[in-house]
Amino acid sequence: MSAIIGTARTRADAAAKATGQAVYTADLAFERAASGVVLRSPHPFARIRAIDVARAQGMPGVVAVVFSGNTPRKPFDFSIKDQHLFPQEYVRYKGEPVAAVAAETEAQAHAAAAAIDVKYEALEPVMTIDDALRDGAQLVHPRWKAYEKSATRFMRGNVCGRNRIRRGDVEKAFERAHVVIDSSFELSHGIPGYVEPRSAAARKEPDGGLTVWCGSQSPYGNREELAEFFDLDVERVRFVNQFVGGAFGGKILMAVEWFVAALALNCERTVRMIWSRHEDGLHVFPRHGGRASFRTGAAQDGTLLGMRASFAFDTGAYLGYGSGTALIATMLASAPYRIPALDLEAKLVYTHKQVAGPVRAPGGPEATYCKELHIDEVARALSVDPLELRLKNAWVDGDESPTGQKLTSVSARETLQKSAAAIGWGEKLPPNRGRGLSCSWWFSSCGRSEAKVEVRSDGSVHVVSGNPEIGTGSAAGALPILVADHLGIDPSQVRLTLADTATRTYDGGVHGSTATFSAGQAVEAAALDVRRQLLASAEESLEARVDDIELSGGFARVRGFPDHAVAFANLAEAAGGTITGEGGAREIEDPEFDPELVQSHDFAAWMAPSFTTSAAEVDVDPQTGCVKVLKIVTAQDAGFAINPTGVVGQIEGGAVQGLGYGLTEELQFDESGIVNTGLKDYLLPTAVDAPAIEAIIVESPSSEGPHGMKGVGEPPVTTPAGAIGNAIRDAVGAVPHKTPMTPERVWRAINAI
Amino acid sequence: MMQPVNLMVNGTPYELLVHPSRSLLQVLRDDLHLTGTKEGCGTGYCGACTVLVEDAAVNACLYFAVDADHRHVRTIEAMRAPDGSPQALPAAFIECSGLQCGYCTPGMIMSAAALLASDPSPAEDDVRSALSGNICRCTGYQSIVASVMLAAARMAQHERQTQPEPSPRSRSRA
Amino acid sequence: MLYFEPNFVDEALVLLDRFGPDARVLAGGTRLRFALHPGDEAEKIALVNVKRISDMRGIQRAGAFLRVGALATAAALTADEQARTFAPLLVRAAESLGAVQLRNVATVGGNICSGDPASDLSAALLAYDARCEVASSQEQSRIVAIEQLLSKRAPILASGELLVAVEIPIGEHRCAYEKVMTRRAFEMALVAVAARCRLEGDTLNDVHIALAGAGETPLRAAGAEAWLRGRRLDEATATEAGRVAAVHDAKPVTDHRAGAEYRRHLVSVLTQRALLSMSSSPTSARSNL
Ligand SMILES: Cc1cc2nc3c(=O)[nH]c(=O)nc-3n(C[C@H](O)[C@H](O)[C@H](O)COP(=O)(O)OP(=O)(O)OC[C@H]3O[C@@H](n4cnc5c(N)ncnc54)[C@H](O)[C@@H]3O)c2cc1C
Ligand code: FES
Ligand code: FES
Repeated sequence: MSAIIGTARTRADAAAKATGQAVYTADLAFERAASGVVLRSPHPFARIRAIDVARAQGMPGVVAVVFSGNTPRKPFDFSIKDQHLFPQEYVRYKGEPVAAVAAETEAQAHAAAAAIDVKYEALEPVMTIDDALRDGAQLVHPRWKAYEKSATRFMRGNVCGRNRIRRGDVEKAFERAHVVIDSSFELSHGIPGYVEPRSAAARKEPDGGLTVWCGSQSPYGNREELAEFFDLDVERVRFVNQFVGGAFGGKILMAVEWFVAALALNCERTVRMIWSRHEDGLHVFPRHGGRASFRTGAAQDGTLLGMRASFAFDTGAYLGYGSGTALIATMLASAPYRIPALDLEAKLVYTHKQVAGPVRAPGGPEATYCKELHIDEVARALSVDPLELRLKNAWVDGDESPTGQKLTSVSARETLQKSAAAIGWGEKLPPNRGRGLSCSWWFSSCGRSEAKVEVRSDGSVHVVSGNPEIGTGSAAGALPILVADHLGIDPSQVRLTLADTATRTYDGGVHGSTATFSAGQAVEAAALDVRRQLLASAEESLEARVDDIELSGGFARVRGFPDHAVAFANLAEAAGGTITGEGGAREIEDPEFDPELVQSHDFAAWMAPSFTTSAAEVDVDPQTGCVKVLKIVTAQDAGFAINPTGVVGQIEGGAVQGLGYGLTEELQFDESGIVNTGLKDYLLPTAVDAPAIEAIIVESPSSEGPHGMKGVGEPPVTTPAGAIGNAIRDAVGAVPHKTPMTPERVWRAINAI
Repeated sequence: MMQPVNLMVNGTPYELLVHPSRSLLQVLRDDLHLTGTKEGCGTGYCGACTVLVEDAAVNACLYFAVDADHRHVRTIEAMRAPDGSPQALPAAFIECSGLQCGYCTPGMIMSAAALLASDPSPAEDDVRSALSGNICRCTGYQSIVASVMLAAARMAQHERQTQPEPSPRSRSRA
Repeated sequence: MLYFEPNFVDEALVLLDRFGPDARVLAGGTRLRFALHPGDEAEKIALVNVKRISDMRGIQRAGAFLRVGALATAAALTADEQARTFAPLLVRAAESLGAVQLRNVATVGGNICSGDPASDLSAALLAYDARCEVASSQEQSRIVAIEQLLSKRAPILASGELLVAVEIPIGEHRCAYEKVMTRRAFEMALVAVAARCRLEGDTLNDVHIALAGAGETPLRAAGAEAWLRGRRLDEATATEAGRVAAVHDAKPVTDHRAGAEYRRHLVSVLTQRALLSMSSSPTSARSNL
């Protein structure tokens, strides 16, 4: 094993970030940029009778006004094209954009936006799943039949999607069971919670192209979508990504980029928009809220026999990332447990709320919280220790996933055992203290990614990758390590150019625990390419055989004769200035699954699956319901940790996000729409809320990932809330079946009111 | 009506004309182009904008720029040694991976600087309380707390080393 | 927008008088920032920054009172020796307000004048029966009981009025501050209870209990106070007093942060806890656990 890969390392961007020099989108200085603002609907649901922009266009300083009347009217979005840049007929959530204005100053832009005359006819909104599913409910999309959508799409009333996994006969399993347990849950919407609100700037280029400065998780993907929408030549659209102040899935779908682009295409100025927290909150793509019910039958010895689970997710006014969340939830509902009979279903419901998006591990904390509380309920009913019940039923190598995928490198038991041991499972606790466990699985994914590695004539080594650095360290932490290893230099000497589409190194972006997985492969391939070229060229100048040459400290040296060496700089010089290696992520085929077991399920095979268990210890004040989390242990299978510091960082951050999901974070809505757009009443955990965290890296290598790695970014946020919930019940005998488990809800659960 | 405001920022004096409604954050970022200080919420609830006014940590987004008249302001840009290398606090954040996306980091470091100025050897719980007005969504805080503890230890060590040698007499008495 | 930095109370009063409802007193500004909507930036707003007025600053003993200038910040209170000695309850409440950055700026006057029903400092001042020095151009200066000021929702003061200082009666007492939030820090109280009393042996005297977050304004728990007068402080007494405060004194509302029923329950638990902790230690403060 190399000395570099797999050792803890400082990330390449740390110094710039710690001294205030790292540049984020809002920090960019533009000459004479116009300020853009978006005009948003004050109603959660209304018919637009008329929009008149004439007065606004004539206001002082105004350079562009865009609205449905002068922008493309094509619908877009994923498997249902249900969304427009500006709504054509109805506004469907409070805060939905209806127009945008660019002016010399922000104050002028605000004044002009206020002068746009929109005649609304306010209508009764559908604000809850119950309202949406009621007979004769107002349809959020009365004309959905006419929408372009994938053929298999299930739609009825306000239900805009459904998928199902079925195997065996659950009814029979329940009949045979010693106990049959029912549980039901309510899930809150949550925000990604990045600290940097979104901002962007755009400028029309003389060649008919467009440059966009932003902080996206997926600049290449966004570029394609934007080019297609505005009918631009994609090669002439350039996305220049900046440092991203946290993303967590909230910066995958375009938002502010749409509006600066639309405005810039309608004027001769650079247009910039820096969203306030409030505006970012109005345009948030939240984690799905919803509800779930579970029924499980088990034998007396704790063997799980059958499970039925059903989710209804509130996907908001448009489908957004609903499909992904629903698919993942069904994949998680019974996992990682061997249950012969399954009936797992998830449906998606339209309401007049913000469009739910792919927040870090979409469906993950939601499904895992419900499932793991439910599994503890089964264990309690059987008087079996919850750890034992889990160990007894957890998958091992050779078991099948719910969809019939043959599983290898299964580490569920190891993560359970290690986290349980670290939390002191089974040891006696004082009153009102409790411990809980929560175990789940997750996937890795591999997207397209390209990279270049250059050795320049000054001897410097540059990595060019399309992968954006959003904070996870997928690029700044991992990529230099991979390159350094192959070129025999220190990672700190590798310079990074990231996510500028002008470099033509395509990358699918940072999401779905894919980043290091894909970009890492591409960069490593490029590094190997450079290495090959360096060796070949050194062979000539050193008059030695390739096998006898090693790369170290910026030189190619003949083994055993360290002074017989040639510098990278000279090799690059000889090659005409720069030696460039190119590489891409290789296609990895999805594992096989059994299509007979699924309905409308297009995410039934999970690549390089990983396993994670969190254990929590809590102290509960039974009189007030206040919960103090004392410790969270997360044991996570990383396959192989290329940069252990990075993995630990993901686990620690995930633990506290999971804690927030479980205890404090709730996006609230009332009849007039979203309530808490700011951070005053949307309670992100503070340093005082955060417990001691122990990260345990389990390495059970995958056959697919580079060096055996598995995706690490998402799993650690999926398990903590369930562990905390189970710990609360262990402490005081009751737990709310609703997130977040606020003091009030804990108090109600204890008193059964 | 613009107001004259005399500011001392990181040791540099500025004479500015400022609209009375403007925040110190707007003046630092937009007028002085000191963009190291970040805006995360603009309402006092994230701490990304934390700067020191006369050594006290404040939310620059809430602070009226006119209130900073004739006061010393210190921002993240001041946290470098004359040779450009990071001072003890940022160095510890780098070493302990006390940052990921880095957006909370300038505010975090300024809050930590205020803490260490008044309490050079805080306990871990003190660090957590002192940082409770600074939201970090990435790290889970553990590495941040470790960074501050490391910086405190380093600064204390430095302090000991740079203190004058005890006089021979006191040494002989010992 | 007009901007003024008067040096004296009188000067400020002239300005407040002149601009009437368009005048805004600027203290720490942590609340005022949000009251200044973009439209208000119009010239007609007159911002009256009172920071230069020395009469409004400082924390000193004045006869039988501790005089706290309206401009005293929460941080100044927590650091001040006299405040720690003579007004420990106010110090405890100040320590639980917001976070460091806010405490360095937020003033006592601003906290009272914001009129927030869950305001920490107001609750502590209510439990002290503090007197407020309010000046206006009509009536140079008048003394108003804090209870009277806080008996209505914001705006607490009429236009043209200025809160100059609060005065806390000095005397031996025990005190306790109990606060529950959803998060464990950096949040307004769902409910907080500020209590002070004198104990003679274990007999309660001079009991004052104030509730934050238990109604549309901060409230005195007058029913519980009356019931407690002269009783022995023990577990049963504390429990019953909590019940009385919850049932008779609290007027909780349901909002998006908590339900009325839960708030009422918290009043009972926190009142009981505040009383019991006063029996075991002279001053205490607790948040959440
Ligand atoms: C992030 C954050 C967290 C907070 N957390 C808490 C908390 O935990 N507990 C809590 O109690 N509060 C909390 N608050 C609210 C806080 O109480 C107030 O922000 C603060 O105390 C107000 O003081 P200030 O000096 O900043 O007031 P300013 O903003 O200057 O003034 C507030 C109002 O009072 C008026 N005013 C101020 N002083 C006077 C005076 N002397 N005479 C007449 N009128 C006056 C102003 O005109 C204005 O209308 C929080 C606020 C923020 C932004
Ligand atoms: S930007 Fe000032 S506290 Fe968030
Ligand atoms: S490092 Fe991203 S918010 Fe703290």
